[in-house]
Amino acid sequence: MNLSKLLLFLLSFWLTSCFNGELQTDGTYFFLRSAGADMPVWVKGNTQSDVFILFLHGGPGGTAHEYVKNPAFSRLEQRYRMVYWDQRASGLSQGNPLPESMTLSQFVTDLDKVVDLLRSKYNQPKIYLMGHSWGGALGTAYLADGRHQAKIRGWINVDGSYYERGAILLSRQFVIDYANRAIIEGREVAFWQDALNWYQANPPYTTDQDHHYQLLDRANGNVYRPQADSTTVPYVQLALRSPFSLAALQSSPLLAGLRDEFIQLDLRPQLKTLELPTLILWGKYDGNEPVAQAEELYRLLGTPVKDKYLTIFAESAHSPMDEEPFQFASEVIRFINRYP
Amino acid sequence: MKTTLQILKRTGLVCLLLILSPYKTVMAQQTGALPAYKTGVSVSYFGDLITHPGAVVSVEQSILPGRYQLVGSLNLGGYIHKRNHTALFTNLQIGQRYRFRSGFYLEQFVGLGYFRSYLNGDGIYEVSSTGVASQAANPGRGYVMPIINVGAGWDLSHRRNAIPLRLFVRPTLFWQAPFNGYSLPHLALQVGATKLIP
Repeated sequence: MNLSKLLLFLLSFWLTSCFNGELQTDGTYFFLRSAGADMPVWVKGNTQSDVFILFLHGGPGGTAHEYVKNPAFSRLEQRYRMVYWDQRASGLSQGNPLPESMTLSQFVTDLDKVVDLLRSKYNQPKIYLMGHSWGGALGTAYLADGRHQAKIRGWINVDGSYYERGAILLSRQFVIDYANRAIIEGREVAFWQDALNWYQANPPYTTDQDHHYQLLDRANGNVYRPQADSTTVPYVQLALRSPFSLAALQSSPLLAGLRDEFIQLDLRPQLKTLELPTLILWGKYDGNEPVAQAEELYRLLGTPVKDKYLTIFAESAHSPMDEEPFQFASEVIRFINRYP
Repeated sequence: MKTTLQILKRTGLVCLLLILSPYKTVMAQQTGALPAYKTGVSVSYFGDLITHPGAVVSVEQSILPGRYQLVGSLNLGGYIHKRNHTALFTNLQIGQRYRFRSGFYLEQFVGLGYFRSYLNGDGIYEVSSTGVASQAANPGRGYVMPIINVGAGWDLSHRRNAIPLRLFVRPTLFWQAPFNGYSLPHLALQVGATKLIP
């Protein structure tokens, strides 16, 4: 091989890499700079629509980017515009924000800036908030301020947190009930007996609860049907041809303080101040935020009964948009049609 | 997530240990008959996560030329990760290379450098406390860049029709630090050629 052939080969390799995948061209991708953080905001979907669904990811420390190929959201994108925002020190956010900025209050401020940016950039669109898990807590804290509610057309709460200490008790009970059933049915008896012993030796709030969350996974409390195809995220495609980087797999130590605040969080008193149309979507087998939380949430919401809806997904755990994507999308579309 | 980071750190540690390992055994195999190219200039494709394209230009100097080489290199490069960041970097590396009789060689490098990252997207915005949005500047942010790579290639300089050229492939691991309170690992691939200068 002579030098010119070699250079030609290298050039063709380089050019091949320059071709962008759909995730590098689809929609509009910009950054919001706020208090030391550069947070990506990805608006994609039906460009003819003035309905924007702003997704608040879970965590703290998750990423909205892993949902950009989600079948439920892809279906919603056919009608509306989905907005995927990664919160500070989470997912693909960049910058070097200070640890002191990792507070719920700052996250609420960031969210308000995202909303204002969308309103300014897209000429006052109809914005619906959709919060999942921790994103449910963030959305609730945001909407507790009446000025913020005025900017939002509707609130979609997906297995969202609002009272974490209560959720932890229910979550532990979820695994204990699962363990007892498994023992009665003769499934992995020794393992689940050990689990019951661990719960007896480690009361709630007193020890590191990592082991609980490992047991919760084994009890299918996060994913009801672990083998289902719809729960998989196309990481290879994301890695090679998208904004995705290894940052999406990392957990920032900066978020430790926020996690502590999250565990102490009790937004029950604020729920009665929420009066906007609300759709609550919940997995029947959610072990993280068990379904009793959904029923209490529905009861405590200040929204008039005619404007609040609760849908329980019969074959989902913590993420019905993964496990029952088509029904999930249908419920969201029905809700938005009611409050256009 | 923690496991991924631990594996990456462990990989880095193993490479460091190899770099610092005694090389007396290898030195004993040195032969004096091989051409003694001391300097090389490289051009290579640099792909962050393989497919985000960029390039690196390097100048290297063999401290110990021959079959077993100790090498120092100065690298200047950059890449574009669309909708994430555009990077420019420079670093100094030291490494070792062992060439087999066939011309096939293995190498490993470790180094430290400066990494500048610019946001790559359809704009950067700030929003005032009164809710007014405006475009923001993109001056970039500076980071420390530890880097490790291992490589393999062909040295064409000692064949019968000698060409003073080396071809190489280098899987690369580098870090961008501090990033959101931790060191962000990057996996990259370099594919290129080195022109050898006596």
